[in-house]
Amino acid sequence: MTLIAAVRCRDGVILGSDSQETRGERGRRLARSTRKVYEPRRGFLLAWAGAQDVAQGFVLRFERARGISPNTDRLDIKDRLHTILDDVRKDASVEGRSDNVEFLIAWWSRPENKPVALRLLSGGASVWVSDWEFGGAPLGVERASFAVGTMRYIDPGALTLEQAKIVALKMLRDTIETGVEGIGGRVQMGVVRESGLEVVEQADMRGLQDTVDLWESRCIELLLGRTASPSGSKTPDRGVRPPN
Amino acid sequence: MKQRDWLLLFAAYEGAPDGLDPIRFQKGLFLFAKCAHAPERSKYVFKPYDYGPMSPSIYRDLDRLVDEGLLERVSVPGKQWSRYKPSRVTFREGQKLLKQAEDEKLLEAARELFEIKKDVSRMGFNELLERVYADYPEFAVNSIFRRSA
Repeated sequence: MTLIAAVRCRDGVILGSDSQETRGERGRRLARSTRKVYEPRRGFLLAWAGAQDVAQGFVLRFERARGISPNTDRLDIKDRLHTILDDVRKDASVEGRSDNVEFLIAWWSRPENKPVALRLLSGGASVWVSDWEFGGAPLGVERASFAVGTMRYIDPGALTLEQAKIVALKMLRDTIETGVEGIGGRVQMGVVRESGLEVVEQADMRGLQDTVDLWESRCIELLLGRTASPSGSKTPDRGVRPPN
Repeated sequence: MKQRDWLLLFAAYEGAPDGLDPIRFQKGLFLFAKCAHAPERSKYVFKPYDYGPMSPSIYRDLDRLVDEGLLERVSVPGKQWSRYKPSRVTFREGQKLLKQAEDEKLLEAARELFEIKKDVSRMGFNELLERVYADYPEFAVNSIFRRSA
């Protein structure tokens, strides 16, 4: 399974996920890294959870579908997405595996001039993302909801996109660190803003990871005052110094 | 001396025997880039980022120094980041770099870098960031941390 997440903030939407794909039967499972957040067609960002072949079938049809763009009314887009998913599920080759696939799809709605995101479930249901929304492994979703609950004093609607990235990253990595089966690997992330989409590359994720660490370190300093600095180490210092 | 030579010298200086986190490397080399004696070719290029000035090249060079065995990467409990710790090899290279700085008449710059290392190793994160934001507000414009008045 997977954990996928969406959060709407002041000026955009963020989609995130873990990066682990698990295959095989219980006791013989193999995990490998896979991309779960990407831009399947111009103007749309997607995150998927569930059976990979079913998700790929959906994405292929979504890529090829005509007449879907961020200029389209979002309710029409929603109907089209449901139709595409229904078509995928009619495929006999995915029977039995198509019951537990979920998608988060985000775009900047041009008619409404605002970011929107939809959680699409294989059972025919869908939910518009108002603040946080999760999909994937039930235990992962539970842990993610708990992680967000510990930060309930932060209103995502008040955050800038950059701030929301950090909060989303903290939630995702805290959830991944709990070790829920089927969820793991690096965090993947993409953002939708008025000026366009961005899938955050791993090199850029490093700066974001450091920002979260810094945020946590500053929280500690806020509570405890200044914490031990590197110069206060008891380790013998064999470092060099320039001549006077 | 190249950019990464100054990065390695910064790591080799005394002041933080257990190593430094990436934020202190970023801030230290940023402050060095603002020094009067730092040669232009030795300066990393910084952009205003989530936590103030940041140069992606520093991340890249730190990784290379680790790959080349010139620094050790030490994981920090509860953090994604690692500390970059100097070893005997780092100190030996540091001595060579000091000699090179002397040969290239860059000892003043090397002394400025040394003072910066002492400063950033002594400060807490709040103090370090506030200092950088106060002295270089143009690099604080994208900071996600709002400053107190």
